[in-house]
Amino acid sequence: MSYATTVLPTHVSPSVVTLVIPCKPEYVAVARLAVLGIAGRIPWSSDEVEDLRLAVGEVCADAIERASIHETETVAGVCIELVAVISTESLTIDIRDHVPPPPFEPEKAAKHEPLPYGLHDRQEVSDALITELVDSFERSHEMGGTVVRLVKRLPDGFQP
Amino acid sequence: LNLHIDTNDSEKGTLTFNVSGEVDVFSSTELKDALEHAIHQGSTKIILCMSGVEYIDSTGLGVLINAMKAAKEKEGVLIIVSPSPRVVRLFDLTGVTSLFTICDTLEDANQSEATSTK
Repeated sequence: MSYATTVLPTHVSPSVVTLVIPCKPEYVAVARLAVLGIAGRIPWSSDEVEDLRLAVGEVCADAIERASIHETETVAGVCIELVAVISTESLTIDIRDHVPPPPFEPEKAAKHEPLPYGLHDRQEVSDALITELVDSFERSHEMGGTVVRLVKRLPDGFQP
Repeated sequence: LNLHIDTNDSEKGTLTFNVSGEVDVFSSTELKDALEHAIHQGSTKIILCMSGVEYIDSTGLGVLINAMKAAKEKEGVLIIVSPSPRVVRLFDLTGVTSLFTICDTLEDANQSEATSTK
């Protein structure tokens, strides 16, 4: 598997950062730390940087939650790949996991308790949250996994 | 970078947690267990001081909501004190601010009623 060739946009002269972490809860902080370093190069406010860290953390948490539905053997060695590209207009972060779709086992899928007060489940809350945190948020499913693209526009006049 | 939880059993039925650090998909289980244990042990007034929380995600939010619900089922209350800007931001973005009892100071929280009114 070649991580470096994963979902790299071709229309930019890119400043590219790639990171691969195990699909495990204890590594999400590493992804957030990387985002801090990348976004710290851009003249955003600390709140904007924190918002982006939260968005990336939410996407990683979603992958980990989906992985938790599977048997351990099924997701052993599964990674989350992050590719951050700073172009002249935006910071794009693609986050790809290779977590298979959930098995059709309703009793296992149902073990995640729904949240009360109309918040149907964590992913619904998470998706609504991410939509507020970045300028663009897309999710697609391919090759037995999920790819999420987060885009945040750069401040006017910023040269990467 | 990790979550830190200190507890203070200030008076009968009241348990104060000082939560700091990061409440995320990794660490939220620790907070969940601590809150569930407190409720199970009969604490009817749980005070969560959250000024030192530097990061919280939807997993952490779920823990808070479920703990608040569990406390209410026991006719108790969960009070959040001095939430950090990141906690406030998450509450605002997800529209859950009104669900929680929030106090500016620990003194205010200690003086509020132990029974949920919401």
